Amino acid sequence: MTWTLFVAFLAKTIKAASIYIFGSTGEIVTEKSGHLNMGIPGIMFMGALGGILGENIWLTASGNNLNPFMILFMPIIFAMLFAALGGLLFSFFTVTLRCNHNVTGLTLTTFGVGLSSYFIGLIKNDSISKAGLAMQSMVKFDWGDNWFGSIFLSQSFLTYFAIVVAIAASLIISRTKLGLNLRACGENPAAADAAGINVDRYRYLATIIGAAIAGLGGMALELDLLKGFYNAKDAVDSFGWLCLSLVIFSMWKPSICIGASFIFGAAQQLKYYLELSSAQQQIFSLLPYVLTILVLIITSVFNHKNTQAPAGLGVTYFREDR
Amino acid sequence: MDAIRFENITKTFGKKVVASNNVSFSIEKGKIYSLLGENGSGKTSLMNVLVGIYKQDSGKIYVNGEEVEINSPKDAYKYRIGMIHQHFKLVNVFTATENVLLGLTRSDYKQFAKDQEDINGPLIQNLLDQGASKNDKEVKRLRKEIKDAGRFNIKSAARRITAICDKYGFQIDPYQKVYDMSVSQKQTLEIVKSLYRGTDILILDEPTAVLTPQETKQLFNVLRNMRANGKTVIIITHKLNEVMEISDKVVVLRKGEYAGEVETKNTNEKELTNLMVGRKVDLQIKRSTPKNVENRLFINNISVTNIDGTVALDNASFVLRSGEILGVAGISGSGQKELLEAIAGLRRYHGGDIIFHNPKKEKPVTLFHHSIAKIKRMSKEGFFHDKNGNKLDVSNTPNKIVEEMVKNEEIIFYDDEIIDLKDKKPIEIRNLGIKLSFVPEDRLGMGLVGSMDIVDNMMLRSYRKGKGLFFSREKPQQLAEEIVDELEVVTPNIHTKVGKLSGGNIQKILVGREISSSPKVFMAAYPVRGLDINSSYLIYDLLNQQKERGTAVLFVGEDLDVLMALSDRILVLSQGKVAGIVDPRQVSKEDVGLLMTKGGHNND
Repeated sequence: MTWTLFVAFLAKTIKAASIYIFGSTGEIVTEKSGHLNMGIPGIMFMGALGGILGENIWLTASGNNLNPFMILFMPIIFAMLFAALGGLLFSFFTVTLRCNHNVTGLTLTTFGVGLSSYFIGLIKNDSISKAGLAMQSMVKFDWGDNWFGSIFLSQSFLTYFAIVVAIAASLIISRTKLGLNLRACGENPAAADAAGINVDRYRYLATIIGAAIAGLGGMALELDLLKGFYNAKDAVDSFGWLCLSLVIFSMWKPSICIGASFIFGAAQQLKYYLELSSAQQQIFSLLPYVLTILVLIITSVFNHKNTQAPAGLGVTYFREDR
Repeated sequence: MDAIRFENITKTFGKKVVASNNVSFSIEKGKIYSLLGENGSGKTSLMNVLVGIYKQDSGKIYVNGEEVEINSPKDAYKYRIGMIHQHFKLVNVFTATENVLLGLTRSDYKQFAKDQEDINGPLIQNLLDQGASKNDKEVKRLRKEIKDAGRFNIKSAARRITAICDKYGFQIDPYQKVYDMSVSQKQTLEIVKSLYRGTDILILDEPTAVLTPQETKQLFNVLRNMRANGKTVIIITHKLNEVMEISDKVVVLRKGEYAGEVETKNTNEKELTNLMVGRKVDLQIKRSTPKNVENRLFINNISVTNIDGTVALDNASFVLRSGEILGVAGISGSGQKELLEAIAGLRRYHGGDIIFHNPKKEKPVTLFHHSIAKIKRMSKEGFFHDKNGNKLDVSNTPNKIVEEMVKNEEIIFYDDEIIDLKDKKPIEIRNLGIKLSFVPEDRLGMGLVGSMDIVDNMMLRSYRKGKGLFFSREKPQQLAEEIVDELEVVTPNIHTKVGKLSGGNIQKILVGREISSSPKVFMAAYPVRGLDINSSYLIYDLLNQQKERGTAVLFVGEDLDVLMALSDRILVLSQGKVAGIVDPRQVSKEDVGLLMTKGGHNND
């Protein structure tokens, strides 16, 4: 690999990492409340659909006005709204109807991917790529003459935004009253309830906010990394599920998740920058999963209580249950 | 003045279960109350109504003379009522301080700031009067303290916690994680959590069930300190000696109804029992003289080592006899659990062996425990005789004929079968008739599955017995009905999930199931833990029945009085060693108590 190629690879790695950061930060926020939302891949797709729609609505309405603020604002808002809807759906099923988390989550993934594929299929291919190009043209900070600039300073707005979101989530979860209460809901909902915390409300909100963040990941994937090229199967496999395993990999800490996302991003991108046969590419696609398994083994060998999943993860809570 | 007044409180679950029925009484301020009643008498439910975990169907609650509506634990805190539940409501991965701060709202912090200002304000004024400047170090510190009290701040909260601990005589490290705490520390933390929120009325649900006698004493001292500070304390309990020791007044509930109220100093245990049960109760435990005593189980020099390398059981030896109850006394954690698990084959031991004398003398051999090949081998070694009492050797007989002979009961044991349990699997040991009814700290942890109904829990033991592919539910169903009937299990029906029943009823089901298979050796650990008097005596009766039908009973108990009254011999464990085997008819309780701590002295 040449030096130029290597720099390009690192720059792409960071861009890919931002998608992982969005997806897994969203899921961490959700899981901290005790909700195991396996619908994240589906929710990311709903976010992607929202992003494409939002961008198209703006471009159509304004006659291709490339106002930088609106170009960013419309897809972000739409992506978050669509994804939040998925989170709301999940919470409604698991909190209000007390359904099983796994079943609800997996169903939501199928639902989200199917729904988005259908509607994205209705939109003309060139309007999707137009949306992607619009995003590309406007969000790039172009300070990159040297290698440092090309890797770190030439990323899109969404990439920096992802890191800011993850750091904010990390601070809120570990340092604030809100975070303390949220973690209590995930660790021991009965204790949280006895302390006067409205567990249902926390779970609803954490799931909806988490889904909205994850939805940004889906949007960044479609409009930023893939530049408007849509391929559902690949995206679910190499991003959706990996966001879930990233949560385990980063031991439920958004701060670790930033670094871990870079590793996953590198693992995901590496195959495009090496000359590989398709069989070798398949093996490279395995890399993130192997890493996750390794982390699982390591954390369970040391079995430290601070690196484990929230104790109440995946358990529906109902006060009068014994 | 009354701190709390209940008026006609009724609470039902579903249509059938009435937890509280038209209960009315009041709690005076600044006193320690005991809320006494049997299992399922509605003590905990009533208190859960008070702290807003349940909502009453009808009736009114008054706090300090004002009618209040309490819909959640948060509301209860608003009226300065706090409850310490039997199962602690703590987050394991949080520190003590984080647990205390959990769920506090802005108005709570405002209140804390106000409280702190009430304390610090006069101090500051005093300093200023003495001519200190506004920028004086001490004045600044006091001002900061008020500010810190009013916001989310781990450090200042930790300081406040330490202050509360000093005031009432607790010991707690504010930065210790809950998973590193002992049970009694967790309980202390729960109390601190409640006091931090300014609780004036503290309810404790069976606080001593999980404590050692020393820890209980400490707790009672704390409660007395709280009373001295003007707080009202309500203890839910069914331990009469504790009621007599700690409380000023006793309120008795019976089957969800108010049964009466007495001053502790004007009453005695007998009167309270009668009030609680509603009829005269005979508190004597009968003990029949053992009959047909035979050596059943030889425990020879066995030792058990824990994973962390500590010795749990050290060279223990004794003999368990049929037709008698061997009580096991000892401070908790002296190796009782390990001993029983070793016998049941659930735990590896080293050193010696455990030999079981299966009472087979003059009984025909069956194919249930022995294969044809084994019978042939044993017959060669001279284990069997025929119907006429002549020695029988079938080692060279064809298998078909041997099988025929077994079916016709023509192969008979000369003597008891001697079996080394060392290499047997737990299931084989169970099939030999050695049954363990273990009631660990967590009642559902061993033996029963909470999310299955009573019938299915019966089937946990009999699922292997079905014919062919399917199993029959008829027999387990019958058994479930019998147990519910005979042991007076309070349950809507036999298809109720076990986890939904109260602790006492769960224990009855566990003990009942194990006894139903007519064991030869029956081991019960803490079978009456958490049970009320009536149920406890029912269990004692069951143990006696087992003894009378010739079972060797091993009974691990907590209450020394009961052990002394029920057992034929008492094995005393001390730090994993057998400190002695005594005859309770001849020694005093103090002698046994001395033996229980003997190992400790030797080590000093």
